[in-house]
Amino acid sequence: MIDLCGVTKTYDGPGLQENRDRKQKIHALGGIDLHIPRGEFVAIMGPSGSGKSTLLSILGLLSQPTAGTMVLDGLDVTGLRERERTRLRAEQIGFVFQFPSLVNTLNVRENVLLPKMLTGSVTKSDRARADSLLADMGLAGREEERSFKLSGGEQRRVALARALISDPAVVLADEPTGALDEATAGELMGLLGRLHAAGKTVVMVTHDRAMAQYATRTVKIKSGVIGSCSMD
Amino acid sequence: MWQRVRWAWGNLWRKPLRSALLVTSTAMTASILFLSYFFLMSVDRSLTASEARFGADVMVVPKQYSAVAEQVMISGEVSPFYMPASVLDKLRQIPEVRQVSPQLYLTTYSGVCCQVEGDFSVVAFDPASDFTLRGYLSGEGKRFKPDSLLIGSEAGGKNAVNHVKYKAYHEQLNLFGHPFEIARVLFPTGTGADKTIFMSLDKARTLDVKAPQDTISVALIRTNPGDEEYVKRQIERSIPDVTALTGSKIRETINRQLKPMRFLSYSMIGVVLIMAALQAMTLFSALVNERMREIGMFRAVGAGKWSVYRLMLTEAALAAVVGGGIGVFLIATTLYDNQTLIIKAFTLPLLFPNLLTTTWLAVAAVVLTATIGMLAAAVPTRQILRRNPYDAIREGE
Ligand SMILES: Nc1ncnc2c1ncn2[C@@H]1O[C@H](COP(=O)(O)OP(=O)(O)O)[C@@H](O)[C@H]1O
Ligand SMILES: [Mg+2]
Repeated sequence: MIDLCGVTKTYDGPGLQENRDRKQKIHALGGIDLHIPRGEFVAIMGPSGSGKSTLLSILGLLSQPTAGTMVLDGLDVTGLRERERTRLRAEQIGFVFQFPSLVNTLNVRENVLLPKMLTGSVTKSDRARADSLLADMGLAGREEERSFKLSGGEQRRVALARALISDPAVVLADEPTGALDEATAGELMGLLGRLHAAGKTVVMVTHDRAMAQYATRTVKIKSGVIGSCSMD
Repeated sequence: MWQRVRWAWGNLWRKPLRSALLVTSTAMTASILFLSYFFLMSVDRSLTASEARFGADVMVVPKQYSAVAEQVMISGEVSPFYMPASVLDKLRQIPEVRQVSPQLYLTTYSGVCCQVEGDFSVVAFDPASDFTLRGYLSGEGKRFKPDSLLIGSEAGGKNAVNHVKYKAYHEQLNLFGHPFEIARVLFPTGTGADKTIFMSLDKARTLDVKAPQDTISVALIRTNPGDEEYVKRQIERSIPDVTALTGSKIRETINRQLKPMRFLSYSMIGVVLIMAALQAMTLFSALVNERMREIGMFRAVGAGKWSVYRLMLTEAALAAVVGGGIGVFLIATTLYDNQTLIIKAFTLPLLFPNLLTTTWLAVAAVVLTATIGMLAAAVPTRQILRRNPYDAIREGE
């Protein structure tokens, strides 16, 4: 499903503006080779600052690698134009962010429909799909509520429903259990497990060993380099 | 569509104070645009009116009065000067002259005319040959008889034009010791002509008016199109002691007088537009930059650049339409409520545009303001859209 080959990502460090000679480069990713087959549930684990989010942003077509290639579903996406990348993001990829990402001015259902609202008009069947996704997430009856009134765990589940609105093949989640207590985190992992069971490719970033247990494979990353691989 | 508008509206309410500032500033922009163009239009409309009325193609006056006469044609206010009535016959002999109509400037009547007190110029005209007042007669009223008067719109009071259609409307006025009846009211021109009382020339000749016997003040001429200059030269060659003024000369004078005002108005419009754009851009760049992460997130869930623009521009347009609408409405109602007051305050001739034109002007002002607002929102949005979605999300933290 996804193939990364020699992917690096370099950021301009501080000091670039002030002094060009002393400019520092931050090597967030240093040559990643990664193969993720269709339908796999992968956990990417590593300490803070190891490049997990950077890697996920490249997988999610949110940023371009500095070098290396990425192939998504047989298509080399490295050199694609922004318009194509946007289309792929909309159709193939569902993204769950590390931070609370619901829009306060919209209600729960509208938040799930956000991708549809942004790109076109919302149809009746979109609305029905949003409601059934919310029901899957255990949020039936909460559709009309203002999103900021929901608890942290509920908000994450709305964000997950939003990632699924276009029925993508790949779901990417960046520390989805971040600020959640253990029970709530477990619930959310259960939901990701169900997606995996339903045939979706799931890639999750976490620094929590307990959460990584839910995945079928754990990839360890340290200082932008993938260390040991393990298959459960 | 409506869902998006509702969403944009909600986003504006997220920052009530700043949105209020935005709305206020667009209200001011739209109303200043409206106001300056409104005055330009008022002046133009009034000029067209006075040209049609007194700007006959050629106007003949006694030789030494050409400068005075020009001012008379522009302002509509009269001053006494005379030439022999026999000039008329000589004018009629010129083949290119199609119509000739005399007017005699009589006096200034100070007193009450139809419940309005003031100084009114009294002018005698020839109903049979007149072609200048005809277009301004109120639709209804009484038949014009030798003992009748026509009055300018202001001489009859603000609503005289409406009153004359009632049979019961009956106003009398004593002039030169003779009782007259008001027959018709003239539509407003915005010039001194609105404060003029017109009587028939034949009747004036039978009364003890101050003007010398068998004289006229001006002869108004209509020529074949394009013959103005030719007729003017013919007249000045064949009739001594008169000066012929052409309409184009008068238009020139008017335009020269108005040039500074026009220039000022247009520069004001320009400055306002630039200021408004800068102001809106400042507000929007703060507004949009705060939402950098949100915009990055929109892109991450599959929104194209155009979708993001569309939302941001909808917000800008909403604020501008609300603000502009309020501003223009307030200023327009204020203007119309104080119409008389404003006309009095400006010594220039002013004739307010009608309701339809005003509405169009208001819509145009709001649309222009909204366009500025959208441009102002587009610039910072573009900045953010140039980044990778991920960088926008990260920097927006
Ligand atoms: N936009 C950026 N500009 C500069 N440095 C960045 C940027 N994004 C990430 N980094 C740096 O790259 C490294 C990896 O970051 P990240 O991928 O967020 O790690 P993780 O998610 O594992 O905590 C860190 O040192 C971080 O400071
Ligand atoms: Mg991270």
